[in-house]
Amino acid sequence: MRDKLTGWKEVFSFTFRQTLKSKAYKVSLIILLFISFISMPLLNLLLGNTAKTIENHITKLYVKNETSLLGLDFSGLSTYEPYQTIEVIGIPDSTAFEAITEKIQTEETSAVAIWIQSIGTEYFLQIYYSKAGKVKGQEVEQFSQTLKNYFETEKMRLSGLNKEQIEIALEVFTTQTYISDENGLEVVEEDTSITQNEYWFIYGLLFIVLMVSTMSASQVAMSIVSDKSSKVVEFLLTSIRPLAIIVGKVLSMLLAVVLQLFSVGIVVFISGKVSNYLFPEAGNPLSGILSADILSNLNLGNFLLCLIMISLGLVFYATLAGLSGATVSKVEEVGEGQMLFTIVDLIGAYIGIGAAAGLLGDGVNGFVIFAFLFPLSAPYILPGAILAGRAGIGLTIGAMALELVAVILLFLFVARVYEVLILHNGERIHLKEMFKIFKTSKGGSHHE
Amino acid sequence: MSFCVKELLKKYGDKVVVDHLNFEMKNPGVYALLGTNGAGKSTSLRIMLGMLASDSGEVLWNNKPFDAVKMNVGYLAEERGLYPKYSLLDQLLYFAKLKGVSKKDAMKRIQYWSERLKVEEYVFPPAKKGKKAVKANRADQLSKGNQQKIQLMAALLSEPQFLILDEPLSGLDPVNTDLFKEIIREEIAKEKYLIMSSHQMPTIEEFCSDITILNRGKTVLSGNLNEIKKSYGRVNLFVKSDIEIASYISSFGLKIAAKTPEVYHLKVIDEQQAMQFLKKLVEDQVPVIRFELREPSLHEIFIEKVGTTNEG
Repeated sequence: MRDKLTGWKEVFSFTFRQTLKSKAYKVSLIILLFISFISMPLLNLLLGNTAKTIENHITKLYVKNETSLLGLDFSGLSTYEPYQTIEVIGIPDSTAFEAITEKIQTEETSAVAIWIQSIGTEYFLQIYYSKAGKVKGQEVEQFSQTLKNYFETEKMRLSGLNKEQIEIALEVFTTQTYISDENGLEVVEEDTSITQNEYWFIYGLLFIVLMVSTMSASQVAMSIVSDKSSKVVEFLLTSIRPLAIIVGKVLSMLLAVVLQLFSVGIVVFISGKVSNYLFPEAGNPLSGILSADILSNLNLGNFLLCLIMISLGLVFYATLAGLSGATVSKVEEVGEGQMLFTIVDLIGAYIGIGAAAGLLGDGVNGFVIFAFLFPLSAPYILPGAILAGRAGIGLTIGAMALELVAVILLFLFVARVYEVLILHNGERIHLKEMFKIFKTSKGGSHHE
Repeated sequence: MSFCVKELLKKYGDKVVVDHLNFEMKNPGVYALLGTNGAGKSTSLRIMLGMLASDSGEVLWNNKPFDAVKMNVGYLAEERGLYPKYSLLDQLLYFAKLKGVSKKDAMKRIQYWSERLKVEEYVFPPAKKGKKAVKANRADQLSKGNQQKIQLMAALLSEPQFLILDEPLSGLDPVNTDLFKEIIREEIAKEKYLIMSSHQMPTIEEFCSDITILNRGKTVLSGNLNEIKKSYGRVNLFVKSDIEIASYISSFGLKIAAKTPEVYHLKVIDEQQAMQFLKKLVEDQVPVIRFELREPSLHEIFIEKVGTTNEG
């Protein structure tokens, strides 16, 4: 095996350097870096997140109370940030309310009017504000949340509760269910489902892995076919074995793509800093997805496991792409040759997406465990699940072992087929023929 | 040291493309594989180099399996191959590195061969003027002949003891053909083992001591070129006279193989028949300007063995 791999480093370093030097790589990198650089400020602009603390322009509040809570007093709002200076005025009847709302539209654009009604057992609170004034929708949204919270406490106050009782009533109440077995011993049933945020996080990571595998696949296949189409491979074979060529090519193209994405990651980070500089009050637009609770499981161990899983997965898919390159003889046939890769890659990704949805609903179930262990889907679902703390160490190591076995088997298969097809010049080889080659070949080339 | 090909057999499905090929090189020199297109020359060379698997037979070097990767073998493929978009210097350094040549040595050798093959301006393009390179330094910007020179350079960079040249002179202009021939002569003088395939019979006659002629995978003739020629005997007679001698020839019972405006090419049974004809000419006072008796050329032997219907 060692003899068969001799020279892979030379193939790796030459292919890697030439890829970095190529115009296509440089242009795509520049485009990606440019998009990454403007991404954060642009996202802030598009989402209107130019200020993290929403500036308050509401100075006056008109209240029309049509509930049985006659003692409702909104003057206490001045104890809430940022409404310390707000002026609260009651409206006696509906005719006056219409006049007030008209006034808000034209003159008092920094004022807001609310109409509280009780219908059956429910309360309804309507807010009116001027579109023409400084008061923005986000401010009103924030104000309505404050009003709602304030209304809850007022309701309790008017029911006769004192301050301490209100605090007790507002305390968070959680429930936990325990199941006991036939011996009365507690059966611990962990809630392994994920939150919506965690789902999007896992989905995002899956998408990044899919993007890297797809990009590197086309690069690997192109690199292998270009050796064949330019006939250089015949010369190379007098110096090194086919296995060394494919190993060098797969790893170099993979590294080139990973490097491209790593650069993108760095530039996105810089973009975030630039965005903070341009919009000092704005927060990270991704903070909604990457909230602190998602990364609470992030530690060095989990990070390394995640990295190993992604690497194994990428090597697996890049090797499969190498097979696509080996089955055709012309650059223009690469797309056709990649059909097998595309199908397998999508199967893996869709199983991963299905498992993420499963995690969101039921938590870890049979299908999710299958997706964790299945070498096609594991690279897509497992990294996110590890970081979200939904994959145990035993399951993770088991999945890695299976992925490693799959990588080795695939490499042996691809190397064998590649060795036979290296001088192949003709129509694309189909999967059935590949297995035939694998079973019967003693090495050497295949001609059409 | 000896190189030996034993009973090499290669089939694609039911089609036999190399049919029990045998030959041996006991000493340094040049061995030629001849044949029409599709005769199995390149396939045989690829099997020798380990790129293709044979169905049976073996290739030996000093009675051990021949391994082109482990041995220092220089190879000029029939289908020329260079990376079209990469710098020539980068490619040559890469090829040298794969053969285990250090960068320092490789640079020296590339410099030497670039000058020798007159491609220095492409391999080491002059400094850039402004932003545009003055000269091309990529393979796709070179002529076919210059690409061939770069390939020969790549084959020679590791100073191989064993050279396999598949159609080395095809597509070259007369000046570059002479340049390649000169280099091949030098390599022969260094006591190297060379295997060459070619369609150009004069080139083979010039360089090769031993030959194998293949026809549709089968060996139709094999051995030492001089001995092969001797075995045919001096049966080609070329006669030139001031007068028309066609009727004279036919009255003597000789067969005209070919005729140019001035010279008759006749086939004789043996040297004795030729001598009798010469004696007759002298006795009859026929003015003879040229009377040449010689062995058949390789071209004639090739045509005789392979025939004229095998093209394509």
